[in-house]
Amino acid sequence: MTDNSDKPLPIEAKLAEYGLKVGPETLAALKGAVTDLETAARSIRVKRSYLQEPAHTLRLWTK
Amino acid sequence: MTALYDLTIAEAAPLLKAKTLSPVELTAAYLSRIEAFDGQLNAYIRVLPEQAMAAARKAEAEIMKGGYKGPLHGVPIGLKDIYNTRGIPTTGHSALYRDHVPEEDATTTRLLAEAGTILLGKLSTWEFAIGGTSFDLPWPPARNPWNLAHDPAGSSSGAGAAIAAGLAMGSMGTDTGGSIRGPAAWCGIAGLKPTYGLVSRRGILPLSFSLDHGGPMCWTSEDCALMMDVLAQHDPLDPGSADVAKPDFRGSLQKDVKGLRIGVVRHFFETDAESDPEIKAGIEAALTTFRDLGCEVIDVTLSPLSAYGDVAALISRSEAFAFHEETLKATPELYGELARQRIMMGAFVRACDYVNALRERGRLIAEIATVFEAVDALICPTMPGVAPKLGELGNMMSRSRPSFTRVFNVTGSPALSVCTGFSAAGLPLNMQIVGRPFQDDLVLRVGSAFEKATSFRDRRPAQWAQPALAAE
Repeated sequence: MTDNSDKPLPIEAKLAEYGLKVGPETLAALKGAVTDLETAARSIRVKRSYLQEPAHTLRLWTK
Repeated sequence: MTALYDLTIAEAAPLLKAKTLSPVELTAAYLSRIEAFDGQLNAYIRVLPEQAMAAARKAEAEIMKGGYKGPLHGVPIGLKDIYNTRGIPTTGHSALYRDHVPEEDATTTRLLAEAGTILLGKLSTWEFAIGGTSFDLPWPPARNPWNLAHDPAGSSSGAGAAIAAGLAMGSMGTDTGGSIRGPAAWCGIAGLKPTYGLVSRRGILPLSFSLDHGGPMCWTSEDCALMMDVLAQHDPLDPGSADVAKPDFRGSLQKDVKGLRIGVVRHFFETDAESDPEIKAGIEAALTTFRDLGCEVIDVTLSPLSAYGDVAALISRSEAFAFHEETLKATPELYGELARQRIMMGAFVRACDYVNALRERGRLIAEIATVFEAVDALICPTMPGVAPKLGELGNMMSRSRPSFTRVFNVTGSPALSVCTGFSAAGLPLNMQIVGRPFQDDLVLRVGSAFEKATSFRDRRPAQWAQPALAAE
């Protein structure tokens, strides 16, 4: 089963795949919350230079 | 005559040092107040009277023998119940951790004990610092000392309530999206989220590894500075700990704020998010105070609040789920509804979106660094309004409710919440003061100068006055 940003899998399918069990109240709230997260993800999905690295790139040296 | 519980740490310290105030007397007074009032406030999950009195007697003996350790010696404090305490349950306010008894102290717990503080007890929190305000947990939520019908904010709710009500002289909170500054704002106290890496996270139950911060919550910024003088230590056991020169926090407060350049992030509270007129009026009055103190006030522009909120949401949910995945699968029923929902969200963040959030975070950090070339501190509200009624908080983590606090978890900047006055309903107003990385001392200096130039620190919630316990 695969997921992608254009056509996300239904939440119920993902929960089953991840082994997460939720009641109806949690599921309803999750649907709204996941919509928020998908909107957040879309907002930062912009073309970036490969020079723009994650903020926490590993640093192994010491002073 | 000042009541014992109205003394700040800075006021009590010279009395303790001079042996005119006994740690035993002080601790007994606080325990008495907790017994009298905490049934209404629910600030504490667990009170430790025997241990506290034993520590107070030890502190008294040390001071009497000339072994005064410094301004925190003999000072009664509380710890949010996600700070590990050796041999004492650390529950995260959750049924899941009800029987969790750590084998070692958090680094900060140890540092505060070594400085001679007296641990009064463990303070209530939102479940695992995320699930609140909740009514389905083993312990009730804390209430706001300014009005018991209102919310003290979270997640360091007990810490905020305890300080405002005079049930501890100092406290420790944690802050992943505003959990020190929010309760500080709604409870009318001072709360510092230090620079990421300045205060050890070792032994604090994690919520989001790269956004979590531990820090002090006290009645004044000056008291927060006294605590930071003890807390700011490099910790090799915390992989995020910074090995940097430690500022002289208390000494920094003696310096003038005249000439400092204060940047106002006006678009945050005028266009990006709706803010209560009383909060905005408090900010404008504070800016007048800063001008009167000789500061230059300049409007500045950062990315919109939503840019920070999106990054914070993607990172915090992913990291929280990474920590909780196994227990959420095995025993979801041991979580309260709100924590379960908010942590489980992280299962739905794609790996590439998490990584791109970290990349965007780098851009936001670079942007604020550029702004800090032109100013020494930033000002914006901590919270957009005053404390709502308990149970009426709504979903404050929704994307439709941008947060002023999460911004500075994303950037790792030091950020302090202070009280800017009171609403017509008598609830505290708030302001956030933000600085460059590792200039926490300057942030506290600005906060302390503001508090000393105004009279808001003279007003305590009247309901908890108890004049029988007083110091000359």
